[in-house]
Order: sequence, then C-alpha cells, then structure tokens
Amino acid sequence: MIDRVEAPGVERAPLSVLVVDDSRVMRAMIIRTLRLTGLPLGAVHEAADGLAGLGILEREPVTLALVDINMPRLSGLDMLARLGRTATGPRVIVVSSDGSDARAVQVLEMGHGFLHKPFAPEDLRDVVLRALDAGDDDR
Amino acid sequence: MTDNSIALRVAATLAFEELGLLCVGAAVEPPSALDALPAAVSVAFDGANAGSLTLRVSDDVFRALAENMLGLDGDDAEPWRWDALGEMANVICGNVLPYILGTRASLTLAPPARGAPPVSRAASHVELEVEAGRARILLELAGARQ
Repeated sequence: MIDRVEAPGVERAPLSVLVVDDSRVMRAMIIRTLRLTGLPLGAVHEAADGLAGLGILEREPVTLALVDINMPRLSGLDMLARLGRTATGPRVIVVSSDGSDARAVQVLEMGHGFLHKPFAPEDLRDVVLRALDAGDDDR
Repeated sequence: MTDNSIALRVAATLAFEELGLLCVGAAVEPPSALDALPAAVSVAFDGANAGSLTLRVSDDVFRALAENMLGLDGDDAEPWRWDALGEMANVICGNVLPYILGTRASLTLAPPARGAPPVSRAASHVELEVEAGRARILLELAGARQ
C-alpha cells in the first residue's frame, strides 16, 4: 500500500484537475495518487485523448492538467501545441513512460513539467508543487 | 543473459515494483510453459526502430496488479485487470527502449493490445519471479529505420 504523503504546510485553493490519458487505469492511478499527496483537490476531470482534453479545457476552469503523450486521435504534445502556454491557462505536467531525453527536453522547452512513469507519490507531489509555484511566478 | 535481456530485467523490475507494488526476484530458466502464463498483452512501437514488446504473466500476478495499482479488492478489481496489465507493458516498453536504442531515439508506442504476436527466435526475453508468480517479457526489434 502507498502511505499518505502530506503536502508542505502551504495553504492552497482547491485544485481543479484534468487528467488526460488513454489508459483508464493510469487516470485512476494518477487521481488516487493525487489524493494521497494531501494536496487540496476540487473538481477532477478525465479525458481519454487530446481532443477530449481540449474540449474540457474550453468548458471548465482547470488549474492543473496532467497529460500523457501517446494517445489516439490527438497526442498530448499536439494537444499542448494547440493549447499554447498562457499565464492564465492551466499548469501542465506531461506524464509519460517515454524515457528518452529528447522527449523530456521537448516538453521542458514547451514550458511544461515532466514526470516519468513509473513514479512514487512524492515524485508526483513535487512536480505538481513546482508547476504550481512556476505558475504563481508567471502571474 | 544478453545486454537486451538485462535491460528488460531492469525495466520490468522497476515497473513491477514501483507501479505494481510487487516484489521481483530472480530471473528464471528454463522458461515456464505458456499455459502457466495465461495473460498476455503486447505493445507495438514504431519510429527510429519498429517492433513489439510482449508481457505474459501468471494468473496470480494478473490478479494482483490491478488490486495493488488501484487499491481495490477482489471483484472490484476485475474490470481493471487487462488495463492494468496493458499499462504495465506500456511502462516497461517506454523504459526499456531508451536503454537499448539510446535516449535520443524518437519512438511512438501504440496502445497495448491483448494477446501475443508471433516473435522470432531472435527476440530478447527474460522471465522473472514476481512474488509467488512469474512474468515473461519478450522484445522483438525489426531493425533500425533508415
């Protein structure tokens, strides 16, 4: 079992989260792990591909998006290219099993966080906190 | 054990232990009979190199994966079992290919599919003890793209 990992003592508004992954088990696992980190979660949305993810972003105020790369219809990178990166948009973390340097560098150069699968709950918490802090700096 | 088999063992151990929360033991020879490893999924890949990775597991490992990954018990985990096995294969594949092909190789992985495609005798493979069960991983590389 995974032990609960407490987040640092920083007061945060509840996070509105979007998880985009064609694997429903990975979506469920990411959401479960987010809950275990102790970060305050508000609405949690799920999408199985980049097109569905963009549709949710058009309708819902999302603070944090966790996005897979290899997905049908529209890949995570193509989704992010269409989304762009704005100060008012969601903070984005790409979550992928792709261990190539080229992919990680590509994501980081787009201004997003990168989390490599498999990951421990504290890895997810750390990359989320870094992404949120970077977002605060942008604003 | 070949270099590719060692890479398969490292990537599979990482995935089973961190994602599946299952302890991995020794590599075993000779390989188990196929009917002892009834659950199989494969992940095809293309790009700098094409090929596929197949993951076969014993029934106890198949059942434990979804339960551990999602914190579910018994019947609640049943609808998730194939998805969990597929994600395990996806993560092993994503982790092993940079070891073998280099970290600059650009590859696209297809969604996991149930079953095992035919593989040649040249396919790299490793079979591991996973808790009280077994897992076999086979990697077929078609050759570098020009």
